[in-house]
Amino acid sequence: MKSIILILLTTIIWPQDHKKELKITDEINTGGTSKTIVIDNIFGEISIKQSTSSSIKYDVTKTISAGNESDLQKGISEMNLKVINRNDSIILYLAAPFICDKWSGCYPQGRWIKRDKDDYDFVFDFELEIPSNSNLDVQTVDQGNVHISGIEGLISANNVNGDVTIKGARSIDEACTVNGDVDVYFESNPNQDGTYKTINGTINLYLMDQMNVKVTAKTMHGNLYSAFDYESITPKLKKTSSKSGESTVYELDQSFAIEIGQNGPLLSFETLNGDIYLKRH
Amino acid sequence: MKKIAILLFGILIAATAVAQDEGFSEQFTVPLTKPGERAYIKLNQVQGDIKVTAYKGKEVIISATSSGKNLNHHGDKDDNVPAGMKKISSTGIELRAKENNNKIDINSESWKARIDIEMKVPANCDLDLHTVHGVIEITGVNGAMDLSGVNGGITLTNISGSVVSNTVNGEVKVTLLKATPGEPMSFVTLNGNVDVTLPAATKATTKMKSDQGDIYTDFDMDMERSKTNVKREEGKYEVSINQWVYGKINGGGPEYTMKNMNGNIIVRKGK
Repeated sequence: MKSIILILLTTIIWPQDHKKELKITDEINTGGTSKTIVIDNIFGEISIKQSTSSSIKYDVTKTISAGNESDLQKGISEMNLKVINRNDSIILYLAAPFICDKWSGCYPQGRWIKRDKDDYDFVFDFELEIPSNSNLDVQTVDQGNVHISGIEGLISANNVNGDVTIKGARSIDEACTVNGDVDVYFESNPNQDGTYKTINGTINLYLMDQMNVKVTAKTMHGNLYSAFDYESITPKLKKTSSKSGESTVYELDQSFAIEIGQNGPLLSFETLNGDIYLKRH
Repeated sequence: MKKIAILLFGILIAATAVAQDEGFSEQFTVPLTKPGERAYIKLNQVQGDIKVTAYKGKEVIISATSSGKNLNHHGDKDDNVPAGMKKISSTGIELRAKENNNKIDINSESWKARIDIEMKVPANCDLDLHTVHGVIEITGVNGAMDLSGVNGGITLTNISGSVVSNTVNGEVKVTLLKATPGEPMSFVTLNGNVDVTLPAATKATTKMKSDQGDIYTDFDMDMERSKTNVKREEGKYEVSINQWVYGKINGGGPEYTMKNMNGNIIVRKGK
């Protein structure tokens, strides 16, 4: 048993013998128009704050770690942050010879990574300050949380192994993760229908008094809790035809459907192993 | 001993399932591709009753009622409710009905929470219905029926066609107005009566066995004990006698199996 632990420790520690942190910073002036900012990260966190100026400021920490100096140098040179600034969008993504994705044009449907050997590790931590009216479409996969505060544009935030936290938003289209919590704080009434999902985690939705929302929720092993008074509403029947056009499917698939206040947007929640809380803040 | 434990457990579960909370119900209509022609409905339930009634319409009307009670989750987590918050009980119903060429496949997520399903169907309809914790009740339907339950009885009233029915804890009570000629049938339970009313003119051979109960009938049955089976194999000699009782009604016909362990078997003569 001891030997197994030793082996595990050495494999974890070994690649970090050679490590280098590099800062990449820049500022893009928006000229006052609202932009959509896309961040397509793999390893590392994404932290976005509201800026007082009209420019987009990013501060990215690139950390490369490897077992020897030559692998480290290889990582530093081939693993890079790329920025596309065109029309109404600013796209920040990672580029390396082994990453095949829609940004590099090699795989338009998504992304795949093919490495012959993991000769170095890479982590990119994003910190941005952006105008409050920007739209966001951000995602990361591992080794970091997504944290957004004070952005009033349309937000879509995705993670896999980590939390998604959004504060002071108005329009959330999507806030999803797999192994982590989703925490959303609304300081003014949401004005957009949205989807909130996690598989192994809790969803916390913080609302103020007098807010209006409709909530549908689906959970396998969890429960839905509310700090607000609510009315149960009838879930809608979905009617779908299959591709062949031969069979018709009639479906009711929400476990919970409630309304807080009146005429609010529809927020759809889904968890598998976690609870859903509608809290007061 | 193990059997008794399992039985008791089954009864316990059945008892908790009866305790119902305030319900929530939802109704929807599934039109048939070929209205007026024979339909086929399939439904597998885990927790919930299935009730089917024939009516004069040409569509299938499904109403689902969730009782809000949940077998899997009983008692758990209620003490984890954070201060100032209310737990919202699951009111919605997860149900999917797929219609393809007069075949309707209903999928209820009743393993999570109890859902009782009531259907109004055109009279000419084949049924393939199964539940674990709940009763099956069918009225006025004419068709081939494949029914099974575990904790709950099977009650078929004024039906026609053929029946294969099987449950464990509950009565099997059937009133058959017209039997499909030449079709074998089966009425089986473990704990409960088997009470079958057959049309007076039925031609059938009943095959009956009640381990702890008696068999009653008002038909003039041509009774016959099963023969002693003698098996010779490589010099070994085996004699077995089983308790099956065979009775020919109106000269005999397809085999109708009726079997239970605790309870009586009653075969009544209808009109």
